[in-house]
Amino acid sequence: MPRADRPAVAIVGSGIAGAAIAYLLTARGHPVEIFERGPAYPYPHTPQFQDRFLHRYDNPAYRLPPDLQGLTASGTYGGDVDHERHMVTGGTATHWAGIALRMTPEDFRTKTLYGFGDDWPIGYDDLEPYYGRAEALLGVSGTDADNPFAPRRSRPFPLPPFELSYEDRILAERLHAAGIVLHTTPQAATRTAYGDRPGCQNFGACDVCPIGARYSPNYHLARAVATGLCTIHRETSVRRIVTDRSGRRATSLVYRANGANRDLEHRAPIVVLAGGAIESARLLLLSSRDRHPDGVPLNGVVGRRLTFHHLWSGSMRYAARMLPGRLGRWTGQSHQFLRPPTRGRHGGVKVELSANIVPWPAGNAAGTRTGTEVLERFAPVTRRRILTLHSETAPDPRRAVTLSAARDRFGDPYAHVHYDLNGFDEATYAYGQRLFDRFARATGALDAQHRGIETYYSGGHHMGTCRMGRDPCNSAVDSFGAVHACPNLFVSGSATFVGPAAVNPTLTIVALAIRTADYLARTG
Amino acid sequence: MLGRPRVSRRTLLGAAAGACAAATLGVWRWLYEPGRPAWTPALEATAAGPVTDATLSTLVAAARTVISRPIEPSHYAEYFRWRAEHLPGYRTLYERFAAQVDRAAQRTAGRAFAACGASDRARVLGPALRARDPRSVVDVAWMAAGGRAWAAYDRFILDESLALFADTDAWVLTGYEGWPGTARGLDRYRRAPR
Repeated sequence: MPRADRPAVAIVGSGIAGAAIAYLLTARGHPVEIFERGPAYPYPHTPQFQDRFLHRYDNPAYRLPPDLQGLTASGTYGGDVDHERHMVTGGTATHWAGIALRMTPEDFRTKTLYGFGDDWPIGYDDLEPYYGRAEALLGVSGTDADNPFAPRRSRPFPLPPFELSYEDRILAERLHAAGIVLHTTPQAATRTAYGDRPGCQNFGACDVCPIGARYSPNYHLARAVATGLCTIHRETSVRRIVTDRSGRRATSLVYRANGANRDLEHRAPIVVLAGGAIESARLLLLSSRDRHPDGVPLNGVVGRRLTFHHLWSGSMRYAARMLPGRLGRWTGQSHQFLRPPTRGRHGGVKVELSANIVPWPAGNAAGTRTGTEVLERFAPVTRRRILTLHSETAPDPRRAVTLSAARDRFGDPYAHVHYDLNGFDEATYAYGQRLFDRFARATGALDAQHRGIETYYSGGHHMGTCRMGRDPCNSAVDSFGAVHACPNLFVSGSATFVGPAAVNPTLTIVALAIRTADYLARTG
Repeated sequence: MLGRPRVSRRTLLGAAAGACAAATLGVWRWLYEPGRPAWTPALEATAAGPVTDATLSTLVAAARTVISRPIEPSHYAEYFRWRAEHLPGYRTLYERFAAQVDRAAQRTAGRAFAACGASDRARVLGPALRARDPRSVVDVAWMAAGGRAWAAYDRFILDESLALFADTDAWVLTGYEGWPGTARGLDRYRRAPR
């Protein structure tokens, strides 16, 4: 039975962290209210799949207008940071690739072991049980049997792995002869049926999986709502957090429905910010005591050390047809270079044989006059493989989220994102180039082209703006996500990362969210 | 007292010719300014709604003509049907297109467009090529006189057919077992391709 006799925890943002916390709290009888700026986003994502694949239609119902979603940017990053974020119910992970990797024990201690970045206030052993629960929550398919570089685990993957594709097996054999291990990719997609989620049928439409085989946060949001203890306020923007006179206790949040013309206040005993590294930092900055007498006391750390992953890619051409993309999921990758002996002079690198057929089929019929011309343009793609170097960086305080001079519909400053590469990144790029050449040679590529350093892409992974730590002077939150100066105000998600490692962050986001949910249930 | 400056007829003619050339150049550049050619087709803001089976057959026949490779026609028909019923402007465009190519087919081959052979259908769709890239004065005059409709047919029917082909049948013709968006199963990808 619902137990709404206690005040609800307020969660800002319905993405993968917010959804996990909402699900876990409601499952234990704690009411929650979620505030989500974006619109509804149906689950399973069948309508979105039909729009994209049957009707080739970019549905505006799933986009926020530019006076509600926006940011300004400076620096060298050439990607569209703003639209790497999907502001819909379920957040950016409604569109994610599903790759679900654990960080390694060394990733939590880079300062001690390698002399760069900072150490986390928790270690791998602290997080390991939560990694296991996160894999169970998301339904991760995988194995460590073929990956000698995987960190230890206390429980097996909940589902068997997606096997290497035929072409990846051939490349894996060639790499093995050159001393390189190519192994399967753990991912939050169902290799076989998992609970009420069906097994993957290889639609190759993973970011809008029509059957829910690839995990979406909306799966658990629906379950949280079904308890009767969770309300989702969609198309509602939280404008700031209010604290009591001392500033040590968050009392409420000020919000406005996107189409309304007046603010409302929602009182909450606990507030959790789970809007992603950019928007969570922005909301804290908008709520600063410097701006409002009843605001949140901040220490100058919030917004600093914005960290992306740096993805560089290259194309390798082969004599034989490779037919990449026969499996929509990812198959082969290598974790052999996450912790190279030279780590510290540069970052670690995860090497991934991409399932993507870049740049096909994204509109590549443009300018063709006949089907034959389309096929001629397609043919070379079948003999190429894209190799992606998923690279680690060292957090840099100059890379930051601040408040912009530009303002949204309500007059609130947007986030301003400043991002540049530094010398550490140049060294990592050079290391990655050497790896790329090594992979190309070992696999017998006829030729290979690696893209320039300026082409780096964040992978949509934005981290580090409210980093965790023990020292309130150089961190924003503690290891549970509680803001040092205001301990009933929490930040959940990649904003709290101390360092990015080289692996995809989502499983770590969920593991940390589970840990925070446990803490809230225990103490709240 | 200064006299009126004397300007020869030759100078006047030269200046007039120069002005005409500059104006022509300006108009030409305006027409073909990168990213905003004057003939960029647009859909009209007319209501969405169903189209007849005959119109759908005409559209699929046009897709077959421009693609000129083996295709599965059913998903092209579904694509056109959905757009007519859901997106403003498409139904009107499709009906006008069907009427226009049917009239042209009757003149050319004495039968409806969908019933024509491939060469007759290609001949009927010929103006679309001309509308895509009107470079000569004659082409521009033709566009101004009504050829713009063909630019819209090219952009919203023929181009979209090729794009749909690229995302679907082209995969199978290239050697894949199916295209993204179809359930391809988890066995075939582990075996050698056809």
